[in-house]
Amino acid sequence: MDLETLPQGYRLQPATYTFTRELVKAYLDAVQDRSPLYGKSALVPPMAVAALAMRAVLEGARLTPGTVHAAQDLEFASPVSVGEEVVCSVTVAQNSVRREWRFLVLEVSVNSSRGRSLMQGKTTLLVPQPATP
Amino acid sequence: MENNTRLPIIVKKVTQEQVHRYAAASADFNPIHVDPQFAAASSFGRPVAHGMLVLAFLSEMMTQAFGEAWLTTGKLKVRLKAPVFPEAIVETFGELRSEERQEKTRELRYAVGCRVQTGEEVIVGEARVTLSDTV
Repeated sequence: MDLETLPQGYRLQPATYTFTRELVKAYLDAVQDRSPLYGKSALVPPMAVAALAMRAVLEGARLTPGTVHAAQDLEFASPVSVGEEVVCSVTVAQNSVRREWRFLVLEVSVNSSRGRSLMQGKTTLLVPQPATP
Repeated sequence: MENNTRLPIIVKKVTQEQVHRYAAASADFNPIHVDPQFAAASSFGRPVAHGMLVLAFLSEMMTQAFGEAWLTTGKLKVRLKAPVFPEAIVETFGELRSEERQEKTRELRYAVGCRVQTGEEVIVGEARVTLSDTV
């Protein structure tokens, strides 16, 4: 599936994702976050929720190499615990071309498996367009 | 938590090795981040760090200041203005802009962002957090 061809309003197939201890540890190591909050209470960093759950939905989706992350909105409603399974949904909120870039805005929502809202967000991506002669 | 006019500064050096680790942890292998040859041909001329990697530093600042309240009430709205290249030293900033009182809570609104060692602001935006007046 080519993300750039999806029309505004298109809803991708929701994906479930489980934040295992190993995945959270790998994330914390990568961002070098040693906040005691995540060690003591076994909570998942909110940015990990945003990044990892969204990747689960976009798995298999093709995006032009060189795509740039231009803006991010996030609202956190409830912490996610290590081991928790979440459901992530992504909708194409905007897909338009301005000059040499395609603006792709994706709305993201992450809920618990029981439907409780955990996080909502909006990601703006700039996709390079082929040069016109 | 009572006197958070300026938020704690987080300083981190971004390395290419870290970018690779983040790519593996987040399954984001966009070649603009991990393939020097591809990145050299892009408008950036070399690999850039993932925006979400740098945003994690901002979130760390908010967590350090507000703990679990950030995870339950936090709101972030930012623009990623400029690329962050490996070997950059990134520093977060956050300054209180307003405080809105409700009956039992108050919402704090901050101008937040990240800058690199040249002083260039690479991420700018706003963060909000709501605190309970339980004391």
